[in-house]
Amino acid sequence: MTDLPPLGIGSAVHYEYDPSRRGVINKGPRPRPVGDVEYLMWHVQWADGKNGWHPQYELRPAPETPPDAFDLLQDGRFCGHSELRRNITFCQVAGNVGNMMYSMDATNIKFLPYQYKPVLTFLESPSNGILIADEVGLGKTIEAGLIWTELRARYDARRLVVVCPATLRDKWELELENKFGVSARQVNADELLKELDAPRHQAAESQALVCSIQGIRPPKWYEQDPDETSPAAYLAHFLGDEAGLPSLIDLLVIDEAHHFRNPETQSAHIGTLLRDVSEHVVLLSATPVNNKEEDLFNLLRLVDPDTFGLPEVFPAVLAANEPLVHARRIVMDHKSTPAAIKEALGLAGQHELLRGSRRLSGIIDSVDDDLLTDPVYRVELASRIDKTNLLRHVVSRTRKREVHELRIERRAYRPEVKMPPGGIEEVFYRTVTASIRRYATTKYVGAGFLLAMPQRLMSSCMYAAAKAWSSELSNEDVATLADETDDGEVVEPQESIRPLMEHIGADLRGFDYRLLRDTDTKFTVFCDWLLKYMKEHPNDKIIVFSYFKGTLAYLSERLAEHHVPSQVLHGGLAENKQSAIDRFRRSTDDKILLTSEVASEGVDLQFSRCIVNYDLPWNPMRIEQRIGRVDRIGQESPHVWIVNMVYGDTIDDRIYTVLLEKIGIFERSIGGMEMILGRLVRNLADELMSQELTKEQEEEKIEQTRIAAANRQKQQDQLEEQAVHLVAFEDFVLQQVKAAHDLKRRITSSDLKAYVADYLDRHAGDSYDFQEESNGVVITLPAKLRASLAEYIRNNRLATTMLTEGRPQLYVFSHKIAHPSQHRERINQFHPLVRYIGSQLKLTSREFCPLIAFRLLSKTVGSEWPAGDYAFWISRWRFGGGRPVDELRARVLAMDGNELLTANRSWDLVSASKGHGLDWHSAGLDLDRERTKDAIDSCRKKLEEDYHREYEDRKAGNDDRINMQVETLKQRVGRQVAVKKRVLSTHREHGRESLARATEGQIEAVTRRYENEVAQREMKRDFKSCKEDMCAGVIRVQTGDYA
Amino acid sequence: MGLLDWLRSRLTPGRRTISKQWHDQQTTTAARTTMPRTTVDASAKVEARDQLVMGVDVGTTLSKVVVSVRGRRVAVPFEAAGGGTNPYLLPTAVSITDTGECRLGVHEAANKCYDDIKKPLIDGKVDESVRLPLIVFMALLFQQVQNQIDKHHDRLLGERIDWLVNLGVPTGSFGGGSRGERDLVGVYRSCAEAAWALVEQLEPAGGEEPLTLDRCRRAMQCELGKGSGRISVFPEIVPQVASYVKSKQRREGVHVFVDVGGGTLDVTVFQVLSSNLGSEEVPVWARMVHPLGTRYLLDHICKEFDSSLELPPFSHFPSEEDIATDMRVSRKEVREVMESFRRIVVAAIRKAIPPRVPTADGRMDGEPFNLRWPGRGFLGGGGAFVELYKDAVKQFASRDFVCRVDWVPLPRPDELEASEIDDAHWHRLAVAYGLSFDPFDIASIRPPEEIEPVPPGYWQPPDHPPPLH
Repeated sequence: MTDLPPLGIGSAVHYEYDPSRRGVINKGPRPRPVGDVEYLMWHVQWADGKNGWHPQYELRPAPETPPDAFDLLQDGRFCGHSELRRNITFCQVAGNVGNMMYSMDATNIKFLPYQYKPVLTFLESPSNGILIADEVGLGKTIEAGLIWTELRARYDARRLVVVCPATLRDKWELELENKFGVSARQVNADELLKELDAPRHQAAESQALVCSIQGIRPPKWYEQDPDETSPAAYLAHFLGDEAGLPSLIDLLVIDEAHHFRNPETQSAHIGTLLRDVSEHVVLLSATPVNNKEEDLFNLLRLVDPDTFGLPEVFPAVLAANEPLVHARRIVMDHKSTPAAIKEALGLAGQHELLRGSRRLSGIIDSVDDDLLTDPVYRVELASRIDKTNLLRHVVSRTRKREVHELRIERRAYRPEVKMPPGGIEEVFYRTVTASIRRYATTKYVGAGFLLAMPQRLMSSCMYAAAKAWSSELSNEDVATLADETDDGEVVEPQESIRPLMEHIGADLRGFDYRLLRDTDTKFTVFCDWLLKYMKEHPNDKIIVFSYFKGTLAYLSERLAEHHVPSQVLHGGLAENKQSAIDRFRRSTDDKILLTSEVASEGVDLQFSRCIVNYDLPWNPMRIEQRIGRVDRIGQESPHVWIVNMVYGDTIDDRIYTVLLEKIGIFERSIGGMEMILGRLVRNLADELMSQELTKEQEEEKIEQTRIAAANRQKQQDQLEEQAVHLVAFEDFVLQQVKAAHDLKRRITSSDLKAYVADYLDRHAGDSYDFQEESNGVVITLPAKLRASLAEYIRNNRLATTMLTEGRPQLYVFSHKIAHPSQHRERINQFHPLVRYIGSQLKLTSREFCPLIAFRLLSKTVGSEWPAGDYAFWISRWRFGGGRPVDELRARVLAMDGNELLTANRSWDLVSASKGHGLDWHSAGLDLDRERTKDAIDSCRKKLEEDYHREYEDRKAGNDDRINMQVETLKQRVGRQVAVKKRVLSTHREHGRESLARATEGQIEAVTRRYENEVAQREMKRDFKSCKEDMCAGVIRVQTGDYA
Repeated sequence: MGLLDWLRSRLTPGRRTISKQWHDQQTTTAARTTMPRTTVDASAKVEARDQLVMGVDVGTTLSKVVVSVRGRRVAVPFEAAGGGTNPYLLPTAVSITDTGECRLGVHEAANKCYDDIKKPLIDGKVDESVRLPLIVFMALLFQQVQNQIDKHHDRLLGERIDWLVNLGVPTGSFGGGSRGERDLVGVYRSCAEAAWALVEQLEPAGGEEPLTLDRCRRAMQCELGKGSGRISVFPEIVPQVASYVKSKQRREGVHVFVDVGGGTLDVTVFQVLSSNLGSEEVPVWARMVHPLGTRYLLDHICKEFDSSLELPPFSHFPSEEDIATDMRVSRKEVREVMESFRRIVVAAIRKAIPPRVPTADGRMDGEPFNLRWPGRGFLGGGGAFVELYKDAVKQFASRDFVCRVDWVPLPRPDELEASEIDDAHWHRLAVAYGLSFDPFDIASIRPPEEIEPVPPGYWQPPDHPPPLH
């Protein structure tokens, strides 16, 4: 036995058989005679709060510097599996770890991989912004909510501002609350100003402010008008003053961001002002591109002002991207030769924006002909090319047809509704149509939709229309019909409809509209179908849409006559939309919801699988909106029914067969055509109603519209192909998302429990409760900790917790952040206690046990890991300046074949073993120390290489971005200076000295501004990083059941 | 030759007394584990020595052993456990075969079986006829534990092992109690010393010589059992609550432990102080040991119905229904009889709780004791699963007032390795677990008369009383 150094009171020691246990001797020595021997006993206060007497030979003086993995290996002293779990959990919960998904499975939504695509893209985005351009019905709101969850977990983000159309405010408020546990509040300009004026750290935790675009849009010329005192103007002034100062808003979400496309509008102006005071921004729009590239550019300027601040950059970026995307395709095409790949890459590198790209030149230099036969290498190469893509981190787009989870079949049914020839309905229809056309030819009418309106009312329900003409139309009806052609700006109800109505009214004088009630072919057909359907599917809920309030009232009345109870929903009711829908969903009696277009926007009606278009909007996007309520994420039926009620041999009939059916709206989502069709339909209405047309002529006009729509669609696709679609490389990102999900790269409930238990065990002193029960954990904290926690909550304005009260109470650990039940307090990753622990642990340096050994049953980690010993090394890296990200990385070496595993596989093993390891007490004896040392050292060296490569890559990416920004600035200033110099020489030629001096001054100013801007960007070139070794050790994977 | 070597040399396949289950596990693991043993030379031991502490809980019916091995606490399984009970619960019995060989536990082929080893001692008998079976039992037990540990931890342990043995005796045997009870500590200690010496003395010569009663008797006469410093004896209450007192769930204040054994019902009211981390003194306010254990309950029932109940020894307490069927009476009658016994238990508890705290001069007329309630309570022992006792403790009260007790389960310590016992039953091992600590780390108890007076107003009622059950 080796001689032990002297011990005494106050000596720091660690336990011979568990190096992770450290303590201090505080009593002793006491002799212990046993039989014929005697030895000394010391009393040790251990760091974990325990204490006890130990024979001297169980204690080892702790060295000044803690031993590293190799020191411990020398002595064959390993720590157990719990140390690994504790260390990893600590980093993951308290930190901001790159390959973790903090939002994954934490919210009350079903896991759909594509919804994490924008999250991943956003996290990698150096500009702190993203444009999510998913098609309608894919849950952009949810994606924004997930991003907010990530930011909360990683950066203690607390102020979320959502800007959306007024009609969507309720939806945002509800979704944030129910799905993400964020309490949201609707605010106007005045309230928003007050909130933003308060210091950011004083913002209540997890509060979102929801405001409407209209509510905060400043009036035009507010800057010039000193008398302008509206709250929106104050807000705009305030935001303007705050620009460039520390951010007021952690995340700005702009929903329906296409309203900000036109830079001349006040909407776009307030958007820019808000962007300038926001740390992160998420734009949501299904239609980022309308008919010109600049649309996308104007949105990207909000997302990443550094890169897209100049209008001329965008075409250059598109041009630079094209060969890059091409190169990527070539790489992924297994038929392409190494020569072709190199050529494509070379071509991409020639664009002026990419010429200096360190990443791209790195790729070109590293292409290995031999490895190109390996598909894995190709995928890696392709993903590296992706990283150089200039648009990749700013746009994410998913289309419905790409989403496997959303394959819902649309089944359209159109019962025949034939007006009896010569009957009252036919007479009425012809009279009104003729009346409108006559009115159009005799009077000047500006807008086609005005002409179409009576026509549309009539095709909705003749009785209701005729009744309406004898009274007044509601504003909602007018707005709904006018809205058909809305392209973003709000159309006010028009007074100009009145003369037309009076005109028709005059033509119908003496007509007894009650006859239309007695002979209503459409209703009869509808009612027959409905009763049959309800008999076949007694539990189904049916949504009946009509754009005309009068029709809804009429239907409700008529259905009641047939003893079919129904619920009516339209604007202007006292009950709010969502609660009305909830009531309908829960009701066991009401099977029919009669609704106006209010239910076609921003609400979820997936609980139904049958919608009836009692009347058909002409704009296909309106129909898409309606269908989209049931054909969306969450629909459990494999198909949805779309029942269309259209009178035969009418204009509506022709629109249906010639336009709607042909563009296939009843078969699949048409996506991306919203705006195109809006304008085309407006023109079509104009043409159809303003002149006398035969049936054939009508058909021809509609057909022309369809062809125009198809052409525009084609152009649109091409535009997208060039711009948006190019950036979305689904496969790779989706793979990452799925891997993260499969490998549970997220915080689990048991992680949280272990994290809290571990902290309490080590730091809560010797008196606290942490009693696990079947339905939760009873926790009582000691008074000191309670006080400290309460203070932390006060200072940070966190939510309150029962924990500060000190009463034994049952808590539930949950990785879900929304609270479905209020009965028990849930401890999730945002719980004040978890945050408090994170803040405390950041203050204290934490000791990791550097050497770990444990066993693992292969059945718990899967057959992909053959039995054997695996050496590993785990490090924590930190990258970045402004927004640092931690990375936990590992390297594993299979000791049997001396095979070093890839970085991903290495982490997979470590991560999978986190929850399953078994202690391996005899590791120190079982393992050959020299061999183990070599194996661990190989892992360490490899990980070191990984770190340097990663650092170089990130640094290169950062440099490339700055270089590109500087390059574009340089080009612009070059052009400006060149122009000014020409002017200058002209002035000189003509001897206009004063003008020449002024121009010189201008050139100087331009150059100075350029220098400033370059300097600003250069500051971001400073790229920080550091590395910390966490632990190393050996995992023994063994087959069999018993361990 | 060291003790272990000697023991090792004595082990022949036929004599190994290893739990079959344990043995099977080990062999099948070896067979199923395909992992090649790429180990270093198996003889290369850590050059160290180890102190192993054997915590032995000799119960009236069942005995349990937990050994501390390098910071882990391992429950020892016994082959002789058998009979459907848990492998860690060894019947406190010794069987004598025809050849006079002594074996642990109850064996059908045995000529004679001592299965009532502890009760006579508690009743105050100390003569040889009572001590002899205890010495034999302990000797066999020590021997087997050493074998087990040696077998399963041999590679891990150092060259030299310093064995310590901690024994528990009923709490009443300390500071007060009857003379017989006081003697129990001495009897236990001397018996254990004798047993240990016997194990050491058994010469390997011939190697096959079994332990017989005669040898044991001879050994006793040779004045075995002089103090070796190896054996320590503790009042059971301290180790019993060690898992709680050493845990972070520990609260300052009054606590009650009700231990329902086969023989006795032990009630201990004690104080947990903020400073007594299990290695100081535990002030005990009140204690009570009454022959009201499950066996007495059964006796009571038999007497009432003037019947006898054929129960295999060491089996679980029968259900109400089983009793009714066996005795051919109605369940209602059984319930009534049990109710009368329950009242006896409640009354016994009432008598035990002091109405007032002791004053400085030892008189029990200080401030009313109820100010110190509510407290926490634990119910342990084999009878803890019998409804009657559960009901009885719910009415915990002194003669003057109802004591509000928050009944909680004993926290199961992480470091206890006992995979064969579930969380609901682990408390059966609580005493043995508490005894596996270093003797210096096990508190002694301080009787009420020695408890330092407390300044008036010192006891603050807790902010929030725990819920009443």
